[in-house]
Amino acid sequence: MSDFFDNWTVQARKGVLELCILNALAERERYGYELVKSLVDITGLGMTEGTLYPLLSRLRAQGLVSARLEESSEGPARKYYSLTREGKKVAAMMNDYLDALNDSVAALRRKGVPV
Amino acid sequence: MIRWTPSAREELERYCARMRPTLETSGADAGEVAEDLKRHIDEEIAAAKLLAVTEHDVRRILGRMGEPDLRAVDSPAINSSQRHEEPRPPLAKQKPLHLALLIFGVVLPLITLGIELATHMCAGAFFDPIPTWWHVLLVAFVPLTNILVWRAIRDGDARHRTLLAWLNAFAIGIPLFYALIFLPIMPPAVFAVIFFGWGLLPMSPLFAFIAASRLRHHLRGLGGHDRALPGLWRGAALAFVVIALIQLPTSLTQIGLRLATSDSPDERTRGLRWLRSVGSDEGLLRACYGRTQWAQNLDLISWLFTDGHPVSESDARNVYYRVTGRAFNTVAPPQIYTARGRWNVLEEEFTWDNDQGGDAVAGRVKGLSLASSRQDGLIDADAALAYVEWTLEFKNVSTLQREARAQILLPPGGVVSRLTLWINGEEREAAFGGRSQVREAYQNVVTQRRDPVLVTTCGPDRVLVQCFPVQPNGTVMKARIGMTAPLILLESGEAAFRWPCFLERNFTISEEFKHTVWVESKQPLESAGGRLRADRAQSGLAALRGDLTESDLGRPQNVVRIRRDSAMRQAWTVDTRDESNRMIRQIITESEAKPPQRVIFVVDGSQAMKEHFPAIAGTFENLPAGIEFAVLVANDHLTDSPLRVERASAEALRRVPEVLRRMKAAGGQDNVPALVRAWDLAAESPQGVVVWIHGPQPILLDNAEQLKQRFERRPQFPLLHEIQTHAGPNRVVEKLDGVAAVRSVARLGGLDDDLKRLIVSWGGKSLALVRERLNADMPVASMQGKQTSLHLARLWALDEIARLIAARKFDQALQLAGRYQLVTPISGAVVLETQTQYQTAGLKPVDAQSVPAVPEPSTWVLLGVGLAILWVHAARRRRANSNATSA
Repeated sequence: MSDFFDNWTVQARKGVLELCILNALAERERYGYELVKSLVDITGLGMTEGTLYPLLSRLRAQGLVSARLEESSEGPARKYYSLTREGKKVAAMMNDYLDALNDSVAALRRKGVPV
Repeated sequence: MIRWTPSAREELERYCARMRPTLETSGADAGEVAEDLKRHIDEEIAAAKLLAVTEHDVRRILGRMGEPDLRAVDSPAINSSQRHEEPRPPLAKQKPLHLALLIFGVVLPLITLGIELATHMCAGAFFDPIPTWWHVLLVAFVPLTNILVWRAIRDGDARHRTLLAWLNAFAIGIPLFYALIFLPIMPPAVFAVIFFGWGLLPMSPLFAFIAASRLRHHLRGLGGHDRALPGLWRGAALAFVVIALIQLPTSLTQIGLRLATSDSPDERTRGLRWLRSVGSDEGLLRACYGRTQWAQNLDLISWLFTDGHPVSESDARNVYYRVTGRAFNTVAPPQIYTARGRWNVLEEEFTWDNDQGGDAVAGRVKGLSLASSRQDGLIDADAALAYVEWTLEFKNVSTLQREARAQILLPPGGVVSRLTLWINGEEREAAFGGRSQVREAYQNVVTQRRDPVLVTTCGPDRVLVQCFPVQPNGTVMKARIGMTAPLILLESGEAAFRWPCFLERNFTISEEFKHTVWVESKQPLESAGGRLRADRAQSGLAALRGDLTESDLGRPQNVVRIRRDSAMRQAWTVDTRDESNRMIRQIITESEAKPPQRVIFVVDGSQAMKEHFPAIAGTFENLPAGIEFAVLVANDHLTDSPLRVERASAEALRRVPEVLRRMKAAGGQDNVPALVRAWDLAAESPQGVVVWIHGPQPILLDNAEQLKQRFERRPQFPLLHEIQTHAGPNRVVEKLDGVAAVRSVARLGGLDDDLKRLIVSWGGKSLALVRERLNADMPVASMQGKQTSLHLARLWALDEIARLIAARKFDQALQLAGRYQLVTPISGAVVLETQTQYQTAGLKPVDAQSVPAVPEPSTWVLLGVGLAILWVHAARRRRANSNATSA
């Protein structure tokens, strides 16, 4: 039973990890370290810091986020990530989809039938 | 700056190496992730305010960060069956291929394009692969696309994979096309590369094609994808379509050129129409500059359109004129070069002037310009004659010796009677001799590169002037041409004088350049267009002076008008060139003009004439009633148009101008067939006249011999009155040089005014200058009218020479021309540098005392003698009066 739940959480997280990154960048651009720190603490997401960078790299390769380097007065140069136009579009679609899915699941829980 | 210990670096690298397969499979860039991790560690260290990163720190931080959750970063694009496959090795890992694609796909095409643009190497030797800037852009597109694709593959950036796939497909099509047209050069290029180590450039398209294809192969696997890329065939086909569209004007021009030079008259006409509507002027112009046999043989595209029978440059030049109405050498050479044999260095400093020493003015010569120009004239209105000296300075700023050549339009009825060249600051007068004799002497001296100047005639009222050498590096050459001319009698109390001007030249005259003109006369002078200012000369004579631009000099508006005593009908001079000093008399006769029985008008149908058709049409109303006339328009349809010779009735004079007003003009027309036809029609009448109204004829499209024969063999009638719309060369008239029946109508005003003057002269009273040589026993005291200068004798000699030529008495004519020092159709003037050169040529320079000048020496002598006589007469009267008073 525990294995089943573990697998299910992995599947559930897998679906929303990228959406979380996109949403985190929707508000403003963030540098990698800052982004990692803001995402690792989200309850239930269970994302390790080591997972985030490969995901960012893949999102950049897919053209959903863009990155730029900027010198920092507080330490080493920082790599800032932001959403591309395509990224914004995809994030909006994903959010809409997830909202609709949540609503459907919630409705099912309430009435036992699809909305 | 945070310092990493070597062991810390190694720890991070170990971690990354362990993670790399996982990361690459997930679609992430392992290199980028490694950089990000390093940056993250730096942030951690900086936050802890440490200055160095140790192996321990790295292990600690990475341990806390944890390894990437394989299940979480798993790429959705990669299915389970592919997950365990060996990932495609990135291009950056295959160093030699990586470098080769960059060199052959980007660097070599860019170098090839740059070299061709800078040197036109291929264009000069074979054919022009980039004849327009569109071609240049197209070719440049290939390396630019290749570098974009190459970078994307190197960086693993799959964001624009689809767009790059389309660009790459297009970029594959372009070198494929060029590889095909370079195919004939490929074998020698391969040979050269193998045996000499050079010759890569012709193979550049092939290499670029291969590189672009390989890049496409790598592009396919970019971002972990293995889907087929879109658009290969469509992109390549689009490239061919774009090339075809860019090539279209050139291709259409080549088809038109082939038709326009066909043996079939119908095809020729079709070709000309084709070229006028869809042909490219630039393409035609290139054909005018010719190409080498190599280039012809290797140009596959041209070969396709010309059936392997290329059009020669001389044919192309004729076609260019017929299509555009301009001679090919009156416009700037093509900007992007093409293979053209000896012309391929036209714009270079070492350009050789192929027409040097010849009798054609030809195109502009680089570095040669007119430095100064002054005309000094003297008009004797009572004797109705003028003498003008034109002093010219040519400057050569090139590094080679140059020959200055120009055709000059003389004042109507004029003759060159003096030629001077400044050699080492000294004036040297010309020798006058037979035309071929002086030309041969000139050419011999030109070969020796010494200073000569030559003047010969090239049609009625036209002379060709040649000066050589104008020394290089800013040296100036100075020459003076003296011209004697009758005035044009507008009515008995008014006459006109027109300045000589250039018809054609091989030197540059800047737009700001001004000719300085000054003319003097005893009688009041008036500038017809008001551009000249009245002045008073030191000698008390009336003067008119001003500065005229090159275009203004030849304009009828700048004619000088002179009021003259209408009662002064006679002038005479003692002919000192005659052994027995006989006198020459000129009488202004007024007689009832006899209109010609038949007049055939030939109107040039060239494009430049279009604006003149209404003016020409407006003059027909002045035709004397009852005269037979017809109008022939020299155009493409000459042979098709039925011709009606009809009497000048009110209906005909209304209808014909209307037809002329609606006439279409096109290109440059061959006027010779129309003139031949007009002569045949005019010759059917005992007193026929051909009036030829035309623009400049810079190219002789047809052999004019049949026309010349007609006018030579019947010197009396038909007469040919030619009237040219504006200054420019006339190759047809050049061929008719010395033919008595050919007359130029003086341009004194608008075309309609001058035509009307000609037509009106056929009816009513007509004024004419008749010059005769009197018997030796005629006493001076018996002469009436004005005694004038020796110029009158020169004009008489000119008439006599024309008469002798018409009677084919060439020896007598030549003798007379030499004695009076005149440049005529059978004689010329040449200035040579040394006495030896004169002796070798069998010529003798004229005595400096015997040449005319402004004012004519004899005029001063006569003035002095006159004043002396008046003084003696007055002294006698005073003495007689005092005697009478004393008596």
